[in-house]
Amino acid sequence: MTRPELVEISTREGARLAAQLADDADRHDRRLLHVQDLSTYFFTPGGAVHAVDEVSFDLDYGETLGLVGESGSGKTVTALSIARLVAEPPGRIVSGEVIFDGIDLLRLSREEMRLVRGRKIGFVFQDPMTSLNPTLTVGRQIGESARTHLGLSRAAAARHAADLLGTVGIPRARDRLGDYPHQFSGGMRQRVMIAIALACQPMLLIADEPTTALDVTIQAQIMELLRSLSREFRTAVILITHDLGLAAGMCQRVSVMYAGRIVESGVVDDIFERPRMPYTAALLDSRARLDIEPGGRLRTIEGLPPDLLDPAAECRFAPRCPHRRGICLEREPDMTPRPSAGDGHTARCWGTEPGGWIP
Amino acid sequence: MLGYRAGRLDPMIDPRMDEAPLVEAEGLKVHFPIVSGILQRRTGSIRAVDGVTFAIARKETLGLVGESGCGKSTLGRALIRLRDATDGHVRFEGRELADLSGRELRRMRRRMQIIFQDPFGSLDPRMTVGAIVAEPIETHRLARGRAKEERVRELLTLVGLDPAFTSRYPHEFSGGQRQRIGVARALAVEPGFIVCDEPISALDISIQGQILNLLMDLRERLGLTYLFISHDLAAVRHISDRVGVMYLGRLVEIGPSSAAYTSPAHPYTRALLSAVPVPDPAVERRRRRVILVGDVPSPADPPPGCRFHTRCWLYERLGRPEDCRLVEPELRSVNGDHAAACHYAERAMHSDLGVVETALEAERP
Repeated sequence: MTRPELVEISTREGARLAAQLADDADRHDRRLLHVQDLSTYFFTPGGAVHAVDEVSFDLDYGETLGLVGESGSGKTVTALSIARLVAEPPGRIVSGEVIFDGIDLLRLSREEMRLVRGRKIGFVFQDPMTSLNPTLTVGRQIGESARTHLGLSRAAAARHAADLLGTVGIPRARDRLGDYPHQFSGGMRQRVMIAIALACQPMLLIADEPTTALDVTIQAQIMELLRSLSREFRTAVILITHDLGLAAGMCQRVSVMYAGRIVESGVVDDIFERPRMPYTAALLDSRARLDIEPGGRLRTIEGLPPDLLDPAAECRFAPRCPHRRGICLEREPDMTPRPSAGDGHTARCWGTEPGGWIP
Repeated sequence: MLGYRAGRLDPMIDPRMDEAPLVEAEGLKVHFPIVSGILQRRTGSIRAVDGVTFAIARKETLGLVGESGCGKSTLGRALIRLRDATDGHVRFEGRELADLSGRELRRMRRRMQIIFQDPFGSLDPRMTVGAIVAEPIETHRLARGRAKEERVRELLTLVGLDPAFTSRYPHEFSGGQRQRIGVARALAVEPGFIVCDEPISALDISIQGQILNLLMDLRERLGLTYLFISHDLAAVRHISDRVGVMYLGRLVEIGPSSAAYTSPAHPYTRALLSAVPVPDPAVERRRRRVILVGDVPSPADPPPGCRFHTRCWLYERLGRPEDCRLVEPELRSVNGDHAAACHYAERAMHSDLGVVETALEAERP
């Protein structure tokens, strides 16, 4: 398996880069990312907030995984923990493993981690204005990481930046290298962010609500771009979103998070056609959808997510769950397999375990 | 009191001819000046709302969709005179809002209210919930003392909050609860018409349904008329009898929700619909999308002719017809009260782009 080049590279640096990339990708049936029992707490005067609590998932090379949940569910902290970007203090990764391309990221030194981040993991955040440096031209910002991490010359980095801007669909890319972030519209700024994230041909792109601040037609443009880039360059993507529709259209697999836990995981069709965790089902039903005839009341989830300061030993969704029974309030279920069409469908629910009471 | 003044509305935009509309806009324009230089000279204007005509019937919900900067919020504010019109007419129960004296306007304000998007920014953090809800009752001198307190408790109950919450402060509440407080405050003066300006956009998904249900219940119980402004096309269809689509200050399509969503007659409506993600992977794989090219042009300098032609897929498909560049299309009926502002609306209607097939109900236990 060889990784195609990110952009049309005709320079010598490019040829060297392409060879190195092919080399990098010469790994067989190993997973790109294996996260095991990752826990990240925030230590406050009131106690430890279990923002991410024993989260486990895998990601294949080139795969797109959706990390879906509402605000406060822990999806962003999960991503920040993988990249070791959690603000410390008050946060701390208290346990777990993050094996990325064969390396346990949690054991790397700060300096080593910085190299992995710059070179192999790209980030796209919700608000491009706060993640772009307003005082540097976009050409400089895109070229900089290519110079640092790929050792490109100034001229080569500029060519690389122009190619990337073109790749992410910015018209007259070469003329815009000297422009500053404020000279771009919201959608175009997000394209610049994606160009920066892709500058070093990362193996993993973490996109945290990349289109939440954008209008729906611009969102469609950005999603189309991410889809084609990940397909073309076989970049794996973790798409963090609260929008189940986006996950349905973008991802091969989806993990649903609730109150710091992953509560359901599986192939995208299984999750949407036959959710095996009442929270997932409720999330699907609580929003008006274009594909369902309107009328009547929307199903709602009463109550609020639990306080994550020393959470109780019960199922975290139990207090709001219409299907709960005694056991749900006594013990929290584990993630266990559910028979489904696709592989690896797991859920954290007593009611849908074999012999459970939820059909 | 003036009687209902017959408007010059085109019958197709007037929803129920047998009954006088509650709210009417006619040729409504709201422009904001652009000033620049040390002399603060006016160098141009943002044409936020630029010639919009429609009416809302009593007890009707009109949805208003469009992307940011299309003018939908400004239009909503102009309808209740939180913004003054630059040109054109706004009538409420047949009375021209611009002609009202200060006192008359204040009295009229009792009849129309607004619910804002941001349940955090729109409530004064130093006031208790009781004081927030009581304020409009005091302003309009609707009740005093015990009767006022009783009314506040009644309102909180009405929106699904515990009436014992009156002495708490906004920060003690979640986003959804705060939005309920905002609804209670709007209802305090017993309005007939409420502008709901993105009322669910700031809320978590699981809470959005609660607020939509609440607004629909209240509409039923109190006979309310809504202008429901949102960029969430699915939510708008869910709650609205009719829907209007705005682009760059113009109403480009208006009609019954069922018609506007199943056979959209403006290419922009089709593009918008096709951009909305659907939480069904099978549907997502099947559907054909129109991906619009480029950004929305500036409302200070809208393109000549049809404002959408610079991004229009149909314009391209038809070989860039000249009239789209030269002649601004007016809203015209394509089928009864379904109207669109497109020279080629019939062609747009017969495309299948953008429309999502609907199932009657989710097939889920």
